[in-house]
Amino acid sequence: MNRAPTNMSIILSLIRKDLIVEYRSKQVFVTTLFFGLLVLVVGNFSLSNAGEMTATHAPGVLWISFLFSGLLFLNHILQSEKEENTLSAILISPATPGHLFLGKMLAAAIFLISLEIILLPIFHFLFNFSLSINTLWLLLVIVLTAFGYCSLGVLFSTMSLGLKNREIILSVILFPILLPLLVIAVKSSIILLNGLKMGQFFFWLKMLVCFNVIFVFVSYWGYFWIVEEI
Amino acid sequence: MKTIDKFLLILVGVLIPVALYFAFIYAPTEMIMGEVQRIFYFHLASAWTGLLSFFFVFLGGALYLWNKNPKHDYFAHSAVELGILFMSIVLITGPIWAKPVWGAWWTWDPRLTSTFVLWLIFVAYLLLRTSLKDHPAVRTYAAVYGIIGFIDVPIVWMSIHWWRTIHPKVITPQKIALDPRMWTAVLVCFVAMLVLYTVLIRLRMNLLQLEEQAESAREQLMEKQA
Repeated sequence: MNRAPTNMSIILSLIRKDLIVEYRSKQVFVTTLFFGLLVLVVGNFSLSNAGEMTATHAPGVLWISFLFSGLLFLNHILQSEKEENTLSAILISPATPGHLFLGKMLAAAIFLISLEIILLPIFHFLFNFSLSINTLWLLLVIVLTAFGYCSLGVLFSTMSLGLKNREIILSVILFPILLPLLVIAVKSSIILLNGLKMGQFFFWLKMLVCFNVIFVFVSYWGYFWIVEEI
Repeated sequence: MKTIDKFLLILVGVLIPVALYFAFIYAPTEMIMGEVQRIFYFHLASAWTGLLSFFFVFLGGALYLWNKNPKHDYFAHSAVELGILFMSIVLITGPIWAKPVWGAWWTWDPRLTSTFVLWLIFVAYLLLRTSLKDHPAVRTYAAVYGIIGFIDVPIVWMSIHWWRTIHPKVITPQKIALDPRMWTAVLVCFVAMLVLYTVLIRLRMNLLQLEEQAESAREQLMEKQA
């Protein structure tokens, strides 16, 4: 006898579907990774005369790389559904807009975190930072920021589906809203990479968690309204 | 134009010169900053009006999602445009004051930064609306974006506590650090700005409604001709 699918199984199926598609083609992952690497290299050149200030400015380069690589994927993750006309198919399945949102958001976050796991050691190497326990804390900051970023990203990416100028409009509507999250991520990274007081870092980490909760919640709520109109 | 709009326009015509009198003549000259401080009356009044406008974007968006009445969307749309206008006044008058007092046009002080980010969010709202011009869901999308954008407003206000700031804290929960005459000038300027805002939002909402009626009439005509 077939059992009704649970919420968790539906979300996991959606995540698995997206990740399998990306794993099989590999094209988007490799291109995005290469793009992220290029941003790090260009950033390194631009800071070549920064001297002792490099350690303070370098986290900005890391987060610009994170932001733009993520944008490439967020543009792609829903566009393929639109082109293949599979979005409507998902919505007539037992999956609700909430499932679709969580599936897409988590798939995008996993993609972005995997990308950063590769780029983070390269960043340390290029900017001459040594790997330490702070690197793991930095990875935690990346993981948390990825959830907030991908929540809003998936919402706005769905909103801009089918627009002629969607690549531009997605960045224009996403970045201003995301800015508080990025400011906290950059501040935390500066503390970690410069070995400053961890007390300050934990304060920013708490703020990061708060902002994430707000962003995930509002994006989840907004998604029901957006999908209704697709 | 309706009678109430005509009345409000006359009221604006009276209130703006009165506000100018209070800001430039009635209020005493600040001891340290001198005459340049007088810009503060319009700066603060515009900031309050701008923030109120962004609350109206939230309110209009929420009401539209609730009952899908296009009038609420006109309200939110007009409030965004006027919010940008008043926040632009804040962002222009602030540096004019800051240059002689701080010695710099702009600093990345948290409150300045947050106000600027708020301004960017609502410019993005307008760009989204422009891109979605012919999209059937433009109103719903704009309402959702406006509501999420408004959530940034508490961050603007809380940011002052999170970061150290050099922005003057004129009004704190403990005290109002102003001469009573200066305080009166602030309130008069605020009332003048609010009446001006009310006139502008009423006219803009009316214009949006007319634009839509004209567009729908044009489409009907095209269909008949075809």
